[in-house]
Amino acid sequence: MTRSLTQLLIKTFSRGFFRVHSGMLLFLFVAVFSYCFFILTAGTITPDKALLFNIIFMLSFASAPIMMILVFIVWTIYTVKSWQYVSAQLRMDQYQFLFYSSTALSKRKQFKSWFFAQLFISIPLIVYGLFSVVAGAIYGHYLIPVLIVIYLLFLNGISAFLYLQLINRIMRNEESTRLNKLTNSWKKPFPILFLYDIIHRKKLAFFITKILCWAILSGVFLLFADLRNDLRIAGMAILGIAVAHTFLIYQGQRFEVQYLSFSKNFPYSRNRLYVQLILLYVLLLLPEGIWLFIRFDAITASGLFLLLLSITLLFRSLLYWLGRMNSYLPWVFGLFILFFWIIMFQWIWVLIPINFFLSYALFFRNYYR
Amino acid sequence: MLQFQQFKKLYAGHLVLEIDKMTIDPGIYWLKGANGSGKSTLLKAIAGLLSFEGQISLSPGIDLKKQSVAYRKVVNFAEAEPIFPEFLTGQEMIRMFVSAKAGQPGQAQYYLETMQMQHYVKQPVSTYSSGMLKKLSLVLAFMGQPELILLDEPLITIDSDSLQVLYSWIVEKHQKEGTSFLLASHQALEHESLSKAQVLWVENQTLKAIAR
Repeated sequence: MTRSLTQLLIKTFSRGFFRVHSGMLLFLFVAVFSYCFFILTAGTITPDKALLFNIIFMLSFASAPIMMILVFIVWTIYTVKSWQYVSAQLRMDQYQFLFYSSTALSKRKQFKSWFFAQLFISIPLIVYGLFSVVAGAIYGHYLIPVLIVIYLLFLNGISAFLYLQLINRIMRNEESTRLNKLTNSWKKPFPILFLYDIIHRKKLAFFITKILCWAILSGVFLLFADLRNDLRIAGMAILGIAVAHTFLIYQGQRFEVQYLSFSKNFPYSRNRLYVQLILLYVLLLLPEGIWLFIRFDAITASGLFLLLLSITLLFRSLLYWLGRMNSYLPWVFGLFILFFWIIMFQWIWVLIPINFFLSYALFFRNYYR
Repeated sequence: MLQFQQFKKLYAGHLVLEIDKMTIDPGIYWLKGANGSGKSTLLKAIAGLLSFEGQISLSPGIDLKKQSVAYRKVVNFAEAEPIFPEFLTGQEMIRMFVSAKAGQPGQAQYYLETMQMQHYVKQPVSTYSSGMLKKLSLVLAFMGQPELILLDEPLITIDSDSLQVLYSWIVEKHQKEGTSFLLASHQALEHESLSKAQVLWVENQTLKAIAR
């Protein structure tokens, strides 16, 4: 039973976690590596040297305490995110059987199963940690690699303990937070219901996305301080922000499919629904919009905001067509590369009408499918 | 009232339902069929929730695909197991449906009172039991001025008193406003006038009318 429980937990929660979060993971991977090794070095570093840089990067993690603390913070956020995911899943009807089946096992066996399930979720951390441990060991830094192993075990252990508590306690009704209570009295127009879903259940994802966007905007303009009037730099940052929203966009689609299926019976024309979609994404991207208007003159800022909106809407419309994360991600990845080069060749403004048109066409054709 | 032409519904290339040509006259219908026969799929397709091949139209000449707004304004639907955003209250859901379906403000009051839902309608949906949620979805299906109301398994999860109230709503709505009903249910309709409802069978991947 322990083994089958472990398998079941991995199959449902661990794999499910990757399915839902692969967008963000892929983005982080692409963003960090392309910025660090291609854009940052802007062609001055050959592939062999890039490898060297990579080793230095890993090694600095294995030797510099500040780097270690930073990486540990990122790992903690990642783990907390997984707690959020698993606990939300446990509240769903299809997993209620775990409360009256898995709890019949001894606590030690349950702990073991949950520990393995969490180890599976932590694979990206383990792989990265392992590289650093090897790099550290080769170059004679031993203390931090030991700390890395202990910290990973600690994170996984505490996660397993937490899940154990969750599954064994008597179910309680969800306690509403202050923010939820505050928004209870607000009007909730149909077009922007997803924003309330963010307030209700996806606060962390929202804040991580926005912090990431802020880091991209500040980072890019800091790195290219001498080129700050080159629109291509701004275009790159916009592209980064749009891709950083991949996860939230996917969550928006899931919310619509799971909770708003009844609305397909509403007598709203597709043109009206598309305008409502634009309104939703204008509001979602408002923080970045404000940043752009502070940083640039009104015309440039408007153009850049439209570019951001058009890419985001195209990503959203892709989901009406593709539906699933598995096929959605390669498209986002492909478009990222394509847009990257289009921006490099200074065809930024051409992208806006093309993206809007494609997004509208995809939406119109697939909304009722 | 309801017309099908070359209607076909496929799931992953597999045919689930096919109705070559059929017209259903106004009235109250009991839609029967075994589990998995395609009753819910049929209701969802008629409600405009699922894509399909062919045509579904509401006479006179309101086609689901071509006049999608006009059609959806007069065809209402309640799911077998409704799911609504947890942070919305019953009242907010009602407001949303009344606005979408161009109903009269206060239209829901009668339904809330007769079903005794006033004391919890201001609570978030997340606090509702499955029966309370079911009742809310039934109220929502009566909002606006529908010509056709589709109810998928309306008799499950609600208590026997509420069942009687639901029966009376259906009979009243049909008698006063001429609204037609398609009720998909495994249970018999235990009501004097509803028990005489005409029967439609979903069987062998198609829909058949049974003469009574």
